[in-house]
Amino acid sequence: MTDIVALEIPAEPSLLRVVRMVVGGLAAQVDLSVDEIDDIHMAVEEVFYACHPGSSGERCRLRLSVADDSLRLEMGPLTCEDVVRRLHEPTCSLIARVVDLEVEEGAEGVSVVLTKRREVQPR
Amino acid sequence: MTVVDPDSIGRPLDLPLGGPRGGRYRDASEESDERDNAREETVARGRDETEKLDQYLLRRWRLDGDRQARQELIEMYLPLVRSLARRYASRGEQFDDLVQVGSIGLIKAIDRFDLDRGVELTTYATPNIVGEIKRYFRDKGWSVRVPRGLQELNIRINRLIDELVPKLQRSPTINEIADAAGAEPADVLEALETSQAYNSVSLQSSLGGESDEDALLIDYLGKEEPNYDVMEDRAVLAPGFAKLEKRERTILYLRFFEGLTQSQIAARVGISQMHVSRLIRRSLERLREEIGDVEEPIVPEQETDAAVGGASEASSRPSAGPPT
Repeated sequence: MTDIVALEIPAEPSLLRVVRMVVGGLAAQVDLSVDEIDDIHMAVEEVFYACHPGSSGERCRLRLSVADDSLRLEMGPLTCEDVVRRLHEPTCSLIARVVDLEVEEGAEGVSVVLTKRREVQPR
Repeated sequence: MTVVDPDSIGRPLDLPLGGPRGGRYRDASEESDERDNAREETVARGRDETEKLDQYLLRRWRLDGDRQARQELIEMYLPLVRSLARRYASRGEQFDDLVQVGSIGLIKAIDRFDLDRGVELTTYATPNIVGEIKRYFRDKGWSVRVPRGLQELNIRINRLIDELVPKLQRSPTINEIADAAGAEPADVLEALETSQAYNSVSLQSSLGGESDEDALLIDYLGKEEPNYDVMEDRAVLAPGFAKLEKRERTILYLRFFEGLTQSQIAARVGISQMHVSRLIRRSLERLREEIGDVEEPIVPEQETDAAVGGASEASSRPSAGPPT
């Protein structure tokens, strides 16, 4: 099963709640555990803060896809400079230890891809 | 100097006292002796006597306006407040804060106690204290107003997660929690989301300040780690970690370097999974804020398209010693 959900919000921290709800809903479809959902929630937040520093009027584009055992979230294309350096900020570096974190270059620009895999098979 | 009821002199434990009737002024030592005597006798005679002492002090306060009697009552019942606060101490609030809040309930009970009701002060004070603590959780603990139903579901889910983790030997899924709670998965997600509105970071919260013997988490990152530039992280993380409290450093260490799940950390540290989640978020938030001004790290150019970290690294986490 592969579903794709696209979401675009103003890059305002107050709207991260919307992203968390969508991510949570899709993560539940993959049967991620609450711990794993929290990992991906935190990852989205940290990448958001890193890639949308004090932005005004900017948009945050997200594309989420659900696979059998994982949730993939693509944030971008990003307009901020030095994405790689920003992802080496401490909080992102920590997050990258529990969620796959990659940078992809596309025609429109750079995107950050987060992937959380289900570690334990539920009943 | 306080006006006292002359009828009370010499028989502090046997007093259906009225208001002052031609009372006289007495010095503090006389009053103090009288109270000490009352206290000693109370210890000797047990619970009935305590009740009499309650009544005595309550009458002194309510009828004579004796603030010293009020103070003694408060002090007498502080152990009750602590005992009740302890019941709620595992829910993410500081024990001392709960004692303070409970004490307000106690004071209200003492001030509102109706002498003619014929009930013990304990009977009246307990629901007042518990009510005040619960109100604190309901009103003060939530930084954003969350509907009562969701708050209650959130609390129930919190308990269920703690029950399910040892049962399943892993962190439960949303569907499993929904089954156990008899709720819809969407409701569970929404209730979990409400925990984000709970216990926001206080700007007044401590920035650590432990003694020198408290080593930083960063002190334990020294081993060579393939695919991960430890030295760079050490340089960047150290200032931020220095600002964290010891427990926060320990939790970050356990989560990101030992690879323990939140549920496992919860079991180890003795708090709930949701509380672990909140502490991790708070720590990340603080790190983000604290390290904002740190000099930018040098990143090799060839990393532009490379993975920054990821599960492959998570599986080969450094095996460093725990922070102390």
